[in-house]
Amino acid sequence: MTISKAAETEIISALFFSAAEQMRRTLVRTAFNAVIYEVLDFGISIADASGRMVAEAAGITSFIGGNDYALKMLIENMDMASLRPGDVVILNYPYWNSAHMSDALLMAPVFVDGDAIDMFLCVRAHWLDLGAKDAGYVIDSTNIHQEGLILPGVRIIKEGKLDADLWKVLEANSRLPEAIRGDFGAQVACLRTGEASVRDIYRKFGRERVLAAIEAFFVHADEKTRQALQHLPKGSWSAEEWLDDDGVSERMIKMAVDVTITDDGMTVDYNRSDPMVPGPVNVPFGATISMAKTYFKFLTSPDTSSNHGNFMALDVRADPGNLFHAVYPSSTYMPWTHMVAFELIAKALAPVINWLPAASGGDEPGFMAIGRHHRTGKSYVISNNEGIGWGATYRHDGATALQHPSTSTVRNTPIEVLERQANLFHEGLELIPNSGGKGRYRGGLGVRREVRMVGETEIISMKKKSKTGGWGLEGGEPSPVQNHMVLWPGEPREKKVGMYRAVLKEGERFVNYSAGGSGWGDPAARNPAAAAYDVANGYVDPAAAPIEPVKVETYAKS
Amino acid sequence: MSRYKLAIDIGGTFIDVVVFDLKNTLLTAFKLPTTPHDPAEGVVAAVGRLGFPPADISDFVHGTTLGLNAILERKGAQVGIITNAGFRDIFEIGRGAVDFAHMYQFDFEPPPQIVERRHIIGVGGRMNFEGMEVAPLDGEAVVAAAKALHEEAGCAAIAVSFLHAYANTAHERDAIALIREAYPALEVSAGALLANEYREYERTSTAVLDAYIKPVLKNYLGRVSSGMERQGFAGQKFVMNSSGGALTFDLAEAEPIATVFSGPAGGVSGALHVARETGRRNVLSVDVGGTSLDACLIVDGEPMDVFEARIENFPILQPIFDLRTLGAGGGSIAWIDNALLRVGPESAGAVPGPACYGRGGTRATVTDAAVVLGYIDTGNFMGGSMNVAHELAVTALRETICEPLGIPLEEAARSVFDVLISRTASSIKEMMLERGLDPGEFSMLGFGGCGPLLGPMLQNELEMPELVIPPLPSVFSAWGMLASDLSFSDSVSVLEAIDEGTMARLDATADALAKRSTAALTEKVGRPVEPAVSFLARVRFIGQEHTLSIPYERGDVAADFLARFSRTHQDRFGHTFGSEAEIVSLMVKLIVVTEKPDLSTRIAQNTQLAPTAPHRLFDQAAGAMVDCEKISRNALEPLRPYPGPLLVIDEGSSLAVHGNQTLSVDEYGMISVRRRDAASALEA
Repeated sequence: MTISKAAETEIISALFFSAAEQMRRTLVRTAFNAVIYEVLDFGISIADASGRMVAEAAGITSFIGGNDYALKMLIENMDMASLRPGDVVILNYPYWNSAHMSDALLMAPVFVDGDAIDMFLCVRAHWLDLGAKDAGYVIDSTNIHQEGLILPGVRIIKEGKLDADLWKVLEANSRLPEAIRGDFGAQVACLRTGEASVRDIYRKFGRERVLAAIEAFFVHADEKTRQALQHLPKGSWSAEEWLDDDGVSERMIKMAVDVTITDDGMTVDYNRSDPMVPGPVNVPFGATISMAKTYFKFLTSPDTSSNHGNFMALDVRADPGNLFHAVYPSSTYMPWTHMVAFELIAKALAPVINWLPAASGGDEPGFMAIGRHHRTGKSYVISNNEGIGWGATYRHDGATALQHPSTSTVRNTPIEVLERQANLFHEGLELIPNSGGKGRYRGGLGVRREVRMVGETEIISMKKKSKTGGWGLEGGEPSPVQNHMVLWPGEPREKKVGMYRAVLKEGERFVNYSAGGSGWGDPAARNPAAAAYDVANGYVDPAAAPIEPVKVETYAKS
Repeated sequence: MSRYKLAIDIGGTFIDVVVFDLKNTLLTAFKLPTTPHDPAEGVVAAVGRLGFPPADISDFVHGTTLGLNAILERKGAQVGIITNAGFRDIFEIGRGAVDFAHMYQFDFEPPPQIVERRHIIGVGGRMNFEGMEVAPLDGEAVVAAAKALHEEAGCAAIAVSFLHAYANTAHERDAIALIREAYPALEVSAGALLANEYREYERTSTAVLDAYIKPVLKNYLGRVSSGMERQGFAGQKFVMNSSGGALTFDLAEAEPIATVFSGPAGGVSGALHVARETGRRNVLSVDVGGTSLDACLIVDGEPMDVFEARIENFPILQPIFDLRTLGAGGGSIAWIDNALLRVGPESAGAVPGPACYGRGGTRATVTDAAVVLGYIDTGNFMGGSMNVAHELAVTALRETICEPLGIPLEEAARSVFDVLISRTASSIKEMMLERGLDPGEFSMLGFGGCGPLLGPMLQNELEMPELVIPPLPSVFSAWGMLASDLSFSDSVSVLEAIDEGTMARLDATADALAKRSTAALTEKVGRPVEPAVSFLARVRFIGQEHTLSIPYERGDVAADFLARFSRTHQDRFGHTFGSEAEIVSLMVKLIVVTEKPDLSTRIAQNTQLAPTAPHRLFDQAAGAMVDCEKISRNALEPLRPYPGPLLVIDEGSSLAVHGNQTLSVDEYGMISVRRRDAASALEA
């Protein structure tokens, strides 16, 4: 029975997407640690024999195509001819992988029937501990050897059989061997699910038709992308932003992008950024590429699933040794750089693309609490991702108190969970009046959270954009509120901090502030009804004193 | 003596009416168009067309999407929130997440707020996580807030929600008592009294949505009641809740949030009844209407349910069938995207509807493709009351699919189904994989106007052993409401690690909970009831966020209960732990069994269909248009195999059986379609 090509291409494309989605459901169902099943800190993809992404399942927003570079590096650096059916390769080497050392990528080749590799399956997921120098998070490492056990792309499963010796090495290097065993098992189950689905697609259609469909949907995605690019202006534009510091010195770090759009595509070049720094804020090149791919996707095809074809028109550049192309032995543990850098492309293009939003609050300004519970005696590590204001656009106000765009689907932690599990007691959680940048459309509001300790606890304030503000558009203003935390408010030792680690005793307090979004258009042109609504609802308080910029202490060694 | 049980389900396009004649054990069904300007009018009109005095109705069960629509269309009441001082933005801040559909829209525009910030007032008072009072409730501030919200701001309903109220409801109880005393007519909803669970935003959202729809639903049910009573109705009135139970009108008015998924729940309730009565343990319930396909699983005789659902981005903490909207329905539009053929998600809806309806639709839909392939009997569509124009379907397909792609008509129509079925089957597989389940071990139960249309093709694609089509598939949700029992549930927060001491206390808690809820139910029903009582505990390993519902039996010991939890965890997640577990809450479910239609109940025929006639359809097995028979459903003889291809028609739907499939009618009157080309896991 003949089937029309238009239908067959769509069907096979959807089946591969479903295969990736089935891998995702399996991982989420069986993973042990909440960072995987709650925060979705993973990347899942299926690629053809040359490493081109055929389908992927959504993890964290900015992870699009996150496995592509890792697979490319494995193909370049491993002896692919030595791979056998049933093999699984493990990789966490950050300069190849697109993430920090806690993210373990598992790759399995699929041999449908014969000796040649037909497809590759990849699943990368955040493991709770692989032997870094500190438990939880490493915020001040200065080289890779402080960040955990290095797995440089080695076979951990050989022809279906686990390498027990290698596994012992992994477990011996982890503070939480049971958790990594569970998550490893979940990732293997995820790969096996994907393999069965891929085999099913080949069985149903045969290799020739599958490969033809893959080429056809790559072409389709590329065409759709180029059609969208045709609506964008042609030329070159640039933007700069500042990262607070690298965690081991006070110096601000320059991040820069040059974006060029031509009839042939878009180039995103980060080379004018600072060179690599000693602290753990350097970005693996794979992560740089996926960050750029994610913003490119918003510009060209936000509503469809992704494959290689969506990114054929995109060229991402950063030379080895740049902040955005970390090389051995630089430290890469803190993924905050690519959050703060995420909107650089928007900042460069906003003056010429009218529908791009003004700056968001620019960071994921959350915190982590580590300690022993004052009632139960149980030790805890718990974190909260704080919402920020998003930027306004030419047709609406920015959203209030949402997660940073690069992690848009992550959720904050309920007060009731924080208070049950940690020595925290909230004195207040409210929006910050006037924190939305002014404009014809104003930015969204940031959040103020005041917490009193009911027992001793260590607090890590997590922010990398607290020294500088955002940027408004067309006369809109940036938010007057910066991301920061005030430790011991009202006491003589009161301290305003960005990224910072401190021990707080019972009765001591902190107040966490998140920035609002920036505004769009002349504030004087704001619709009077909207302005009145803001005042009636306290989003804007005309009587309040102006918000003064804060001088933060960004790092102090504890 | 009353003789009838009546179910009325209002959907998007039709009012479905099913009547069970208890004395003569006869089912009658009909459809009327909806009356969107005033849904109550449609119900009252339907009651007027029953053909017998409404005084003869003993029970009336209603399915309504009114609450849901009020939320989606922002047509609820003006609501105010009273919460803790210093925390007035919990509802607006929410969990801070963008939903997956918008994750790459960095210019995301949030939907308008459902409660204006100026209508949110904080008052003194605070509990800690152990339910200990840190600061007493400021009663004067509560009354002052209610005054400001109601008298000055004009709020018609108040949602009360305080931090850690799940651990101690005293402040919420005190606050609503104070508000009711001051303003008896003001509607009040309290978070922990609706959902005794931790997570402050989710509880607040539940209370807000409940308050938001309370005046609307109360007004509506009041008008339905009086309209029916004017016609002489004096029986008992129930609304279907979201987890398949029937609530009295009083209960539904008190906690309307329990009814938001009323309509689709009727279908699952019916599927559950069929599954249990016919001995089918594992059933995939597939309800296909004009715009969407809703699926729910029944595993080992129990429906899969969840305790949290979403309406838009608003969470509601309520027991709800785990219903997933997975695919496109019969009205979904096929379109060309460069070189690809896509189907949905855009639907032609009720207006203009598929091109073949002749109401001005010009774009090809799934229904149009079905007409071309002979899957819908054009002579008899909707019992002949809706004229299906074959020519219009052909024209739409030719113009929007055939010509741009340069393919013949039949190939275009087939392609529409190939795309739709492949994608829908994938979504069903994904849903089942989430729970580690295999479609090969399930029967699919297909209903809704387009359930019989898609069922056989989905069955082939998913390689499922059996497809079941119940009687009256196009009004099956309403039928399912007749099969529902009077239900009532209540819960208490527990939050204790599982040990013998906890289990002993739990026994006492369960006893008190059962007594309290039975008394409440008796009061609501207005007569003594002897409900079947069962308990579910929400359990998790300490440190986990998600819980599992584990049946609890009075007198359970810790070891047995933990083992039960651990087994369920293994089944659900593929692994389990040896670590400590805790009980988060205990829920009691009261069921008062009602008289239901027997599955073999005769069905009244409104129109005479010819028993058999020649027909022509596209057979998937042969890969070609073939000649076959068209048989009226009531002409099928029980327990006799009918090998495909053939078309079975009844008043509301058509069922195309393909060449690799055999149809039979089982002893319960269910149509059963099995695949001849596969060994059946069900029979093994």
